[in-house]
Amino acid sequence: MLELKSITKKFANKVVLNSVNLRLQRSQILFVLGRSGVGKSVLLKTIVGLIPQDRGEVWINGEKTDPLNEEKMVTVRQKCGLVFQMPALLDSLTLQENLEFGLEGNQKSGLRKYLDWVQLSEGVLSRYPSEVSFGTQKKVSVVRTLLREPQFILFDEPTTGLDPVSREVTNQMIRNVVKESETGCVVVSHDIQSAIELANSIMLLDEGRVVFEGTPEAFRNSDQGLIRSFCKGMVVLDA
Amino acid sequence: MRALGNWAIREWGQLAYPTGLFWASIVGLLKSLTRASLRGKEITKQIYECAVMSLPVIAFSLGIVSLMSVLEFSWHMKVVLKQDALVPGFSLILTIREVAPVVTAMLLASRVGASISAEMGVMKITEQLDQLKLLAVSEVDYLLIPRWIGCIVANVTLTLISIAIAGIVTVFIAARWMGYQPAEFYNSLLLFTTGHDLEGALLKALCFGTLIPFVSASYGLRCAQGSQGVGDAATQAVARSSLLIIISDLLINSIWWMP
Repeated sequence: MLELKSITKKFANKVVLNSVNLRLQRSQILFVLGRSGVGKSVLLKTIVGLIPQDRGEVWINGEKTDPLNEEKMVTVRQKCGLVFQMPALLDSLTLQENLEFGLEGNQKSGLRKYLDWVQLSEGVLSRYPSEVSFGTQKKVSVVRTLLREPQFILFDEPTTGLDPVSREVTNQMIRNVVKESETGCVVVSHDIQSAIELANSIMLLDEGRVVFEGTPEAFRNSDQGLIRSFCKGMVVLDA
Repeated sequence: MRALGNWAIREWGQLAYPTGLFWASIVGLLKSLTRASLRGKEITKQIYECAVMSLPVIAFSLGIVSLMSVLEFSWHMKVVLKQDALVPGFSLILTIREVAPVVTAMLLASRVGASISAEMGVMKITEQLDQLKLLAVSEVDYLLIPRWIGCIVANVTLTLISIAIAGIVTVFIAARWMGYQPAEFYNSLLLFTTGHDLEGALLKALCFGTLIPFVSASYGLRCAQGSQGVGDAATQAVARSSLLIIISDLLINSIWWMP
């Protein structure tokens, strides 16, 4: 289980995360929604120790993480993969080299299956990131994380910048990940449609706090103003 | 006084980070050597990028600087002493001790230092550095050590090539315009120059070749978000590297050549 207890994070004087709690079992999908700049990406980076929290604890499978200890965080990051909003592929390596970078021999066995999941042909892998589209780079970054077979995957806006077809492929890939490898997924997104379709539970962040947590059904039926705005497909603009 | 103190603390902070990177790279290099896991392909690429690609601009610049220094020395010596017999020797010792190592390093800092800083800055803002952490790959091992080795090899090689070019230019000028035979030039060179001078030049090349990648990387790795952040990091990298090259040149001179 992935568990966050009272995570608080400040940047300068701004509280980005204020006592945020989260629990996620394996084979579950949690969507984290919220307006731009409310700390959704910070939440994901806190889990894998890229941004250390000011207060609170992160527990993975009953073990407390220590973001200040890089050596211990290596094990945490093996259990918990993060797919960034930007593809974050290494420019100097081909797509194939990006996928194989840092992998052990036996981890390469799932490559064909994961390429099928994201509908990517092997032929494209000999190219460099700058030679392929943003969507292809994003798919490769997803496969790179899947190859490591983490127990939990954190997706940071996986469908942003994708066409509707690629968005559906990504959603199907998340379903496959959960179904076949019993992975738990935290998906940070603005995509309310995907959230309603995929999530076991939805969390809404606003001004650093969790203002809603529940099932997609409860989310859709809620009469909170911000939730109504999300359900209309409209994001309330920051003041 | 408070402002001066704050400035000193800020400047020390600027130096502390590249110093930390340097020590981390020493440890990383020793580990890589013991595990035989140095990234040979990347190191070769960096040597090519730093040395081969910088050669034309450095060779051209050093040729022009040597030519100008011989002609200037000659003109002044003729005005004051009415003869310029020692000029080729003076000119070449200045080149070996100062011009070749410092001008080479300055040009390398502006070309390679800016590139290192901008590359790492872009990697930071596109989350590639975070991705390296997730893959349990040290940015020191992956990025810094190959660039460090590349810069040292490039700086030492280019300094030697610069000295050779300066020597050829000086012989040519001495023979073509000043009426000296190459043998006379060679004699005056032996009169003034020793192996100690060449060793000093190589020491400077080693030192500057280490300064450039670490100072440049320290700005790239801490760069602010956006294109302006990357631009600022590259500017700071070149400015600070150049300043530190001048300061360390003074320190090496005072240790190596002063009685």
